[in-house]
Amino acid sequence: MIKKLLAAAATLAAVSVLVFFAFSLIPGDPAVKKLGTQATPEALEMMREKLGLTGPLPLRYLKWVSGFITGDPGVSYSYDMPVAELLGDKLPVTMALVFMAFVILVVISVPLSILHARNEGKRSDRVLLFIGQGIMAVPPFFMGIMLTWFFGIILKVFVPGGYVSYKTDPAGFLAYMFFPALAIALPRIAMTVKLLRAQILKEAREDYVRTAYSRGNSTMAVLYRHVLKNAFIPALTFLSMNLTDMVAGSVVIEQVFGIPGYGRFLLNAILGRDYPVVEAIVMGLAAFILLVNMTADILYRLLDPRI
Amino acid sequence: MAKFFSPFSDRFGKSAMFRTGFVISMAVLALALAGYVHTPFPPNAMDEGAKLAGISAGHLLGTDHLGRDMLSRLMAGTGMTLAIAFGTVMTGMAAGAFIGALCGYFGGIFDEVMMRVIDTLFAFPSILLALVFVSVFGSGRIHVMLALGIAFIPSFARTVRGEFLREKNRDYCMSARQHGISHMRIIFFHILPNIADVLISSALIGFNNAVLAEASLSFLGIGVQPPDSSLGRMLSESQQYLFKAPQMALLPGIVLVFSILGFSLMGEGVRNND
Repeated sequence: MIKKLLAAAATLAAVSVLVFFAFSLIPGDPAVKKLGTQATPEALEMMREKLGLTGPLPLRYLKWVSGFITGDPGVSYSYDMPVAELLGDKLPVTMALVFMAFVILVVISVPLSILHARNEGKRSDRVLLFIGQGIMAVPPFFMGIMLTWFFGIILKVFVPGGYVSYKTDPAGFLAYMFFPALAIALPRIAMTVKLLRAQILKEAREDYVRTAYSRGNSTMAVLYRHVLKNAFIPALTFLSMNLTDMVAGSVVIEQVFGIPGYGRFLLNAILGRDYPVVEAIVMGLAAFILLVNMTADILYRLLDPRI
Repeated sequence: MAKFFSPFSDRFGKSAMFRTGFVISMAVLALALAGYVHTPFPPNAMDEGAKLAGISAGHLLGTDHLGRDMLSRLMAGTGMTLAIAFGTVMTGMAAGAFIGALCGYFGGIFDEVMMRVIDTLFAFPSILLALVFVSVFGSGRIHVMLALGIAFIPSFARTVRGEFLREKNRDYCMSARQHGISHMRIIFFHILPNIADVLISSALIGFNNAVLAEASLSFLGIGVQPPDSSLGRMLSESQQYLFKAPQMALLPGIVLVFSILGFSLMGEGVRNND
């Protein structure tokens, strides 16, 4: 356990070195970009001082890392505001979106895959397989466009682009988030169902299942008490991977639905070469991914007594 | 419920899957290849008099918001998307296979360090990696290809490393070493051809992810730059006109879905064959 923690910390440290030096070595001077090419050398020097671009790289790195740990990952070039403050009201938006998508994913795919596996070989099974294969091929952002078109423009269930802030209208916010969350979740539901179905069927062919049957258990008892438990353990890793992928995918979905989450912010920072913002978001994501993987690992150990 | 224990897992014929995928992929490929040779109109030519026009004899699939012929842009865009995806897979596979081969074959400290890096990168969703690399390199089609190619290295490296770990102690490798054949020769001429099927199947899956990644990046506006056309670019331009001209979104979207579907069905068929 402690070894895992240390490994995660080492990885995070390595990522921080890579990120910091990669962005420091990009040609182009942020001070020149901010003040224009006409600026006097003195003004440029002062701006560099202000942006923290003076001094040797390793020292600057240490300053940046210690700032990051204490919750102050620097100041945005384009907004002249602390990155932490800027991110503060954007993160909850993305978190709500991803959380909703994850709930939709689990709520739909678990029962569906059980049903799917129980009907193995029947017509409904084949139809579902076929539909699943089709849905998997739809990129989330095109799914989003189609949902906007169908539910927003034709059926007028929601107003496209009519985002409401969670601060002013929490209910309206959640209602607006439903379709974006669905767009993220749908292709992943297809993938999860496919994997879980295969997993359940694989477990169903194991010896212990035959033993359980021969002891007089009903199919239901075997399915719910034995098979599902074992089938879900490998699915944990898959679900945790889905969670990190959904956080990444929300960058695109936020753009489709006009949601002011971290994704849009990151995108504008990339286009505007606002490196402190990009660095902070990348580091935050790295920490998040490591955290999710570790949590999945711990759950795995708790559920599977063999490890 | 008796069916629950049926020994036959999937009766949805594997070869049927491959064949369906092959037909779909060929159709998409034909659209792209035809676009390289000839398009009804120059894909970037604007027709001032016919903005957002519907289907007509002149413009078979109508025009977009700038009066550009949709069919021509669709052909050029599909070509662009497939070309970038191809370049991405080639870059990622060449570099990934090289790293994976050396790591798997030689092992040791190089392998240890390299794999740590690869595993770390692998934990990141590839679209995020691509976003980071694009922000380092800048946007545009060549940069996107490079950024995506690098983002794809980890998965290829891991797969190839695993294969090399298994192959390197097989009899044919042992005997090749005893014959004094150089390590490099064994790696590239003896082992590599033996893992070709694994490479092909991961290339097919990679190609799909690359199509999706290019479309996503261009959709976000940091991939292919205007006036060039690509499926993601077209989808991004269509968003504002969803009310007036939904076909602007649906056409490139459907081509995108079909190209992903075709290759995933093919990959599925190849993988399940053994």
